[in-house]
Amino acid sequence: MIDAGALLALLFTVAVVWFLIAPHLRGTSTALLQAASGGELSEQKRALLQVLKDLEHDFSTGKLSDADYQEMRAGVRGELAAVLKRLAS
Amino acid sequence: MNQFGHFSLCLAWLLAICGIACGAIAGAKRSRAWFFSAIHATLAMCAASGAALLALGYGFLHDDYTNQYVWQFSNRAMQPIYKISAIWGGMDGSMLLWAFMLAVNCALLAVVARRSPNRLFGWAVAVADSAALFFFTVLVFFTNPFRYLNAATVPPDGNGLNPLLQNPYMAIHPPMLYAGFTTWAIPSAFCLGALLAGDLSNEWLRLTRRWSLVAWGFLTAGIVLGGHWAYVELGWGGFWAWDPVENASFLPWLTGTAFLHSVMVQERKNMLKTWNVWLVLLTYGLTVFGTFLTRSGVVQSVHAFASTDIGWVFLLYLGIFLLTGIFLTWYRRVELRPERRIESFFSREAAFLVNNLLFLSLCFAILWGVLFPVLSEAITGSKQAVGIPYFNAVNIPLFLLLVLLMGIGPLIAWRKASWTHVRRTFFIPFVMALFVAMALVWAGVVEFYPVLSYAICFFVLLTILGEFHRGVRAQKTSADQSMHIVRGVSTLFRRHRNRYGGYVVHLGVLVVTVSITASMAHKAEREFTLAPGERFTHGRFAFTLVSSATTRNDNYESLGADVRVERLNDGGEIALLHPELRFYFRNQETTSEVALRMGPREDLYLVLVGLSPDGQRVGFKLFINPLQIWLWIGAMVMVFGTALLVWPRRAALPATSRAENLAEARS
Repeated sequence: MIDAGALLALLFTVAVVWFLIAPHLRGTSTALLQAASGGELSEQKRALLQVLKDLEHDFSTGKLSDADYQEMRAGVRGELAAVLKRLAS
Repeated sequence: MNQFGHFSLCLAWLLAICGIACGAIAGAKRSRAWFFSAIHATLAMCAASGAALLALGYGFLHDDYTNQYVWQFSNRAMQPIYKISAIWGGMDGSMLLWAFMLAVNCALLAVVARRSPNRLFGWAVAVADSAALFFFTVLVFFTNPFRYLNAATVPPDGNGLNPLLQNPYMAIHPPMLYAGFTTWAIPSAFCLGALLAGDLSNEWLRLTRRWSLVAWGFLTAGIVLGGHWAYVELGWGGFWAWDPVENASFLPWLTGTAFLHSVMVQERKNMLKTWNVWLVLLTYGLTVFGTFLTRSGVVQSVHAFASTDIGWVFLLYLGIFLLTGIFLTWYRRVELRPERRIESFFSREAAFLVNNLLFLSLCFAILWGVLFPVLSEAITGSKQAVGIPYFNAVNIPLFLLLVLLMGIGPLIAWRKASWTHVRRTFFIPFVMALFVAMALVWAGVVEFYPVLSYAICFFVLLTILGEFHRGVRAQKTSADQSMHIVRGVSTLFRRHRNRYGGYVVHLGVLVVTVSITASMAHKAEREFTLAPGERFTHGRFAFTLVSSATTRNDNYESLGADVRVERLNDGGEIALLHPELRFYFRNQETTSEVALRMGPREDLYLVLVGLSPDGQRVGFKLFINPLQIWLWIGAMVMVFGTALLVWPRRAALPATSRAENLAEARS
């Protein structure tokens, strides 16, 4: 006679194994991962916009000189433009 | 239930291995299928570890003394809340709680990763699962909490939990601390994942930001709750004794705080890349090292409730982890090269670097103090310990410097600060702080460090308030001239939550600093005995013994006293204090239950010491701790500030500002 606990453990194990191999049984099993997904890029865009805002705030509260502000803003805007380009493609 | 618990643990162990293997294959081959297998393995690992924890909890609540661990740390007389907290009262259960919390963090990472399948996440899941694998290995092979009791018959009752741990704070302090420790595993997983994936842009930092803040918040709350437990339970009138186990939790807090500051430099200036990698690896490494200290019995501590001989397992894991970090940092040394260098010592990036060096100096000084007994024994053969004077002498000046820097660093410009700006920002706060210092000396506070500490705190407070003032003014200039100050501050928080949330945390640190200074510098301590009806006076207070009595229940016998506290000037009653001395039958231990009256000016902290030899008089120890309550309030402000930083933002920026920003980026 099979022990009920052992049976439960067996069923549990089978369920877990199925759960693990399920992604390989779908049609997309040969699909490749991206370097960064669309969701990540949107998040990156949001972070860069926030950096721009902070730079502006630093400038308006007198912490940054005009030259530094322009230079740092240009750098962040360059990064942002690249992200927007990747998002658009 | 023991079998089910053990089976769940073994399954979690196997699933951790699957998670690592699938995550690594996904990272190496960029395979989506393997990626999702890793995600599924991690989620199942979390479920299995949760099942194991539930099985152990079931054993405790149902007094299942066939389980050795339950028998060792519980008895029938204990309240249900302490039966639950007894799960982490010893080594085996605390490791299980640790592993479960780590598995929860891994599962949260898996849930986030599921939404953004990419290589970095694949490697991060594999690394996070490897941390979980270590703890499941410890549980399955060394500290299995589901061992059967080796006895012919099941005992009618258990040993019971250490009385010091039968305190409500013990129900929350360890889980909070473990939440902090285990959450730090995720930023370190992202970091190693980025090194493995070769993606050393600032992406991993951005992804870890919220994890790091949550870990820091939990760790802060856990450390403070531990201090509060020591304050109300140990009966020595203090909250922090530089005990090795306290220090073990403080070390990752220091490096973690340094990391939270230095990431800003990398995000803005692409500097300190290797430094940040090492700070986050060190922080996680120190959480493991702290567990090693707590569990190995290497150091003596009032908190070391679970001591075993498996310290070498922790050291082995720590060694493998650090060697992996060293190898990967060397392998990716080209990608980790900074894009810029610090141009001026008088810049925000330089201030953050000094801040980091101070945090690491504190960390090293404390680590040295903790390990000194071990090192001295290894070198000279005799164990020598450094005490509170060492820690205070080294750490107070470093800590005050850090507080001072807290008022300077965030307020100066990136790249290079101009003298005009520095003078405009700091001149008034500096002069006002000087006045405060002179006023304190005039009022009779003549010790150097307290005066310096209060003056620095005042200086920093003014600089932060000045920052709010300038921020609101800038909002007015750029938007509505008639903007109300409350609306201005709320706009500041809405638009620059990271910055102003950080200032809230800094305000909390100031409150904590003032409280610690006051309680260290102006604390009063008296011992006295009273017969019923007798009165003892100290300062503004009179203490009268109303009655004393012995009571008994199934768990302990208690000698308690009712002491009335009155104001001396008008005789008004302030409180009726009831300190106790308890003797726990099962553990054969005596503990002191402190009577505490907290107030905004000071805490009255009364400890019952015992009866006089003739049994007619009751002995007491009184501590008057000024501004003590502000320590807990300040800590709450710090955690609140952290919650502000972590709180999710609205998905989209307002339409107008989004359009403006995009137009600006494209121009």
